[in-house]
Amino acid sequence: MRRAWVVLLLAASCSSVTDPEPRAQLDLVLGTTTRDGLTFRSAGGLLHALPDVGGAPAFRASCPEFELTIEAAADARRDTRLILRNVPPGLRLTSSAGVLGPTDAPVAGTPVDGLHLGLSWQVTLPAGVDSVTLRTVETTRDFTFVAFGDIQRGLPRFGDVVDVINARPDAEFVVVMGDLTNVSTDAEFDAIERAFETIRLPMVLTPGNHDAYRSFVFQERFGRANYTCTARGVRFTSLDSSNAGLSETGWRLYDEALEAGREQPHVVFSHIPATESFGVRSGQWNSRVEARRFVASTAAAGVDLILFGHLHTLDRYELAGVPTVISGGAGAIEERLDGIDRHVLEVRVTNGVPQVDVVRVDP
Amino acid sequence: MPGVLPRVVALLLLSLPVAARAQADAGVSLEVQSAPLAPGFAPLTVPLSLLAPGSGQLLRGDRSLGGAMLGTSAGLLGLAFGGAFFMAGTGASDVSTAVGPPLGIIGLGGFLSLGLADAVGTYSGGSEPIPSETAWDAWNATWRGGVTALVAPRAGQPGSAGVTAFGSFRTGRFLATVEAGNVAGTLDGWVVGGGGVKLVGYGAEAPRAGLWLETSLRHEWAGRVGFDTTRWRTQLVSVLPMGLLAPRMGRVTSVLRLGLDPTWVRYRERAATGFEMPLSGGFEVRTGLTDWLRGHVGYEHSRDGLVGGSSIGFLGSFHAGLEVALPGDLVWDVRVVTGTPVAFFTSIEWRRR
Repeated sequence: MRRAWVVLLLAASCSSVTDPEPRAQLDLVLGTTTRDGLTFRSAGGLLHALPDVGGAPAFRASCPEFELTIEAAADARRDTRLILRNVPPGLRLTSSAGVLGPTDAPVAGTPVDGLHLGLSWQVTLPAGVDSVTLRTVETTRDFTFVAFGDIQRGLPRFGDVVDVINARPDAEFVVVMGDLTNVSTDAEFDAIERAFETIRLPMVLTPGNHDAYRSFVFQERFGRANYTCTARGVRFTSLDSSNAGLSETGWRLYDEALEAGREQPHVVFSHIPATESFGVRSGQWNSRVEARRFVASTAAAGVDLILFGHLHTLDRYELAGVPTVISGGAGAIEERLDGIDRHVLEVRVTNGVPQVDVVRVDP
Repeated sequence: MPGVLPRVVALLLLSLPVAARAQADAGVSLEVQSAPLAPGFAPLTVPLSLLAPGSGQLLRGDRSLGGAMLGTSAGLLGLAFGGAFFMAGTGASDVSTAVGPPLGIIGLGGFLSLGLADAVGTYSGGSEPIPSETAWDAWNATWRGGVTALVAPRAGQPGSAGVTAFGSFRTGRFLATVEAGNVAGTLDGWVVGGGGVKLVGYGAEAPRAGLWLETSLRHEWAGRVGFDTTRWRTQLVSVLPMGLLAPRMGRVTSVLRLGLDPTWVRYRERAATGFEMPLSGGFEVRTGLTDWLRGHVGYEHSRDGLVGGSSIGFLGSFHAGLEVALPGDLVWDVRVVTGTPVAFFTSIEWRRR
């Protein structure tokens, strides 16, 4: 009963979910930072600057694959230690000869003590070179990832979800469809970050409406809210729908992502469903015109899978022929009477075609 | 589940006017003479009436009507909270959808209707005919025709303004409507044709009032964003003059609407189709303020026009506005809609009773 009151009050106050346009604008500048005369510029803003670790610049990777360019000012130091977080153990970076090693062969990062999924590299700018680019080793292959949405107030029992995820031997990363927290407090985000440190896989995140009560707190911790990247030959695009729609800049970023992924297998993940399968409850974007614009452009671009959260249930349907799944079963107030309790999705990508299976947390 | 919904809605929609009719039939209110409060009390009692509908009638000495309104409004508030709790408590599950939103609309709409009726009825002497203020009331006009302009300033979104022309013909039992709209600066637009039939009349004093079954077909073409839709709306519409509760509340009219909007979408580039089944409905409470000025507040659950709903997606938009009577059977209507974004409507309408 108390939970219902809390949810009701929060729902009543949700008109205060913040304007998405400033978040989208912030996305445009995230992923670039300067330290000691060195400018770190990640392609697509996929590396988010964190507080330095041991005096070395540290970044959180939004995606498993990325590219980073380091530019040196005239009086800048010529070498630096680079620390990346939220990357898989054994991740290798490649660059031109003399930057990470004597040749251009990929170099594995060194684990950093006490840093979950943290690796470091020693980077050197060869004499006469003022700009170097580091990138992950990209391979197109079959792979598996896990996806879930909506933790909210379910953190005390989130360990069950973690156990299920860690028991998926083939999974390479986790896509989260938003609502990590209930009311976007620092304490909640601190707790969720500690909980994520019990998951052995990198986390690929998009914000939910419950993560946007304070507009920029998600981005301050995790980086861009709208972004697109490639992993194992498949494009992944996060869409900030936490305000039940997209802002002007959000639309522009999404159109660019669709264009970039037109020739690739493409997975789009977002929090609030553009259009839900049943529809009577209207747990979807606040404008059906805008939702249909999303569906039309997504389908026209040949997207292969759409993942949503927000509704604490499991629905599988199609939007203009694009397979779509709503999954919000990671612990938020559980859906009742729908025949599904807590669950995660296991997505196997074979020859670029994603196949979604449901893994129940509560048998 | 959708098949059950209309029957549930019909029962719930009927409950409010039936309760009102019972009050009148029992002679509880119509024959009770109680003194209107002095207008000086208004700042104190209006909020009280809106928070606890019926309290104004108790203050003016009509304990029977006041008590009945308090009880009914408590029940309606219970419906609204019950619907919201059911939806929240089930995690917005599929099952909850057939219960939560309809109860919320009926409960909140009915509660607001009683609150405004109580606020008005606290000061009125009760000499007004039932229903009063109907010379230019939309629900009593036989012929209506007009033009609406809409501005919905939404940064970056296509189509933020539009013009709509509409017309309707209503008799005591039947209704026919037409509408055509255009999104400003585009070739996009929509056409609507519909009709209705009165299923239940609420009283001889208000021959147009009652429970109506209305249906319409709307086709929209939206080339700017790549789709066309055909929407078949079917709603139960309750038009209840609150004067049926007591003549002194005759200035207030309550309108509740609830139904389903099965919608077929054709996505042009992909040549794919989609199907949506949203709930539609809402409420509007209208009251005459003077002989030439009428106010209205309400809620619209569907959001398939240029104005969207709330920022979390579950709620539609609220609106408030004023109607001004002009010479020549004309009415000027202005309203503000607090959806996403805040939108502004203005209409010029010709009404002939």
